[in-house]
Amino acid sequence: MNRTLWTIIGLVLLAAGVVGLLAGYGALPFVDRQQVLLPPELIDVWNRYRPWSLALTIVAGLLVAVLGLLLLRAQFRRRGGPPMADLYLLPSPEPTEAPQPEGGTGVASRALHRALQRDLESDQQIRDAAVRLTGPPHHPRLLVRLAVTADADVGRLAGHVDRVMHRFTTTSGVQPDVSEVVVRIPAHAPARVE
Amino acid sequence: MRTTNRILSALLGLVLLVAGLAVAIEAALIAWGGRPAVVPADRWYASLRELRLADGPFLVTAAITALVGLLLLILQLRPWPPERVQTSAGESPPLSIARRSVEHRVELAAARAGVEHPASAVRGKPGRWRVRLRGVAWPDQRDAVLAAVRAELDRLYAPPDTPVSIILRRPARRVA
Repeated sequence: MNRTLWTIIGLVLLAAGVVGLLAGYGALPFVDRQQVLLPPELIDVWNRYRPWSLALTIVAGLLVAVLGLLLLRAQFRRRGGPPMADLYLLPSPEPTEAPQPEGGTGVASRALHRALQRDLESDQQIRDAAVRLTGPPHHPRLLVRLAVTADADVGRLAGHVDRVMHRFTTTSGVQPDVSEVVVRIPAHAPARVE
Repeated sequence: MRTTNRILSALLGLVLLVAGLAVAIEAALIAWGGRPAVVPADRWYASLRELRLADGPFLVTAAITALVGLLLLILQLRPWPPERVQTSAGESPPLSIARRSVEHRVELAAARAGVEHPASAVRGKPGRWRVRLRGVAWPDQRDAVLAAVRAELDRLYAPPDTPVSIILRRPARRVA
């Protein structure tokens, strides 16, 4: 999004600058290069519609401020949207011999995050795991960031992540759609002390 | 570049917020018969009524605006290096490694193979990337360096057909 925004800003600035230069050097046939930037006609229009021109300026200023606020807020938003909501498990709808209990079971989204993170960190090669579950609670999207030891074996890491996912689905009933697993390997890391 | 863009956008957002509020408040002050509090509106008004399109300050401003626009366009439109690259380990999705980690590991491997001042760059797309290594070493070390880099990429489970290019400069003098 930012790339598109700054490409458009770049285009607008380039176009404005080039048009300004052309006008200043008299290369535009419909613009007099001796014209002032704020011509009297424009001031006349402003004064003729005096209360409205001021009202319009106030509204425009407020609009620009709101746009700025939205842009600023978008920069602090994390990737993938808000974290998934708490999981709520209802009793099985299938008829069983035993009487079904009333109500359901709630699992906090934070608890699921922490469980997944701890299980990932159970491997000696992983120093730090960060997980992010987003989207619908029963089929969330999952982003995983792993900081690993300098001597970590990438193949073994992949096997570990697969096993963690399997355990997570078995215990919680949630089948995340793993959209990304990114590994960061330090360049000069001290050996892990056992 | 992604981080730079994020910082630039946050700054732009802040500037728009402050400038928009300033314009609204100053216009409201003028509407209620007051005078602008912060913005030197009278001075700007006077200079804008006198400044002509052919004047130096206007031309300089236009030129700087065009240059900044051109610079932004070049920075945004040139290909960016990938943030992370895919390996052949793991399934749906394959494991990715941060680009900088791959570059560091390649540089360490090259240094172990005898390259001085190794600098590695990973370019391309996350699913199809290539490695470039520059450094100082004798041409006869080239095969050993290439083998070391390939071995390191194998350890990182890089796709087996990942292209590697090595550019070596000769050292100033041979050290016995």
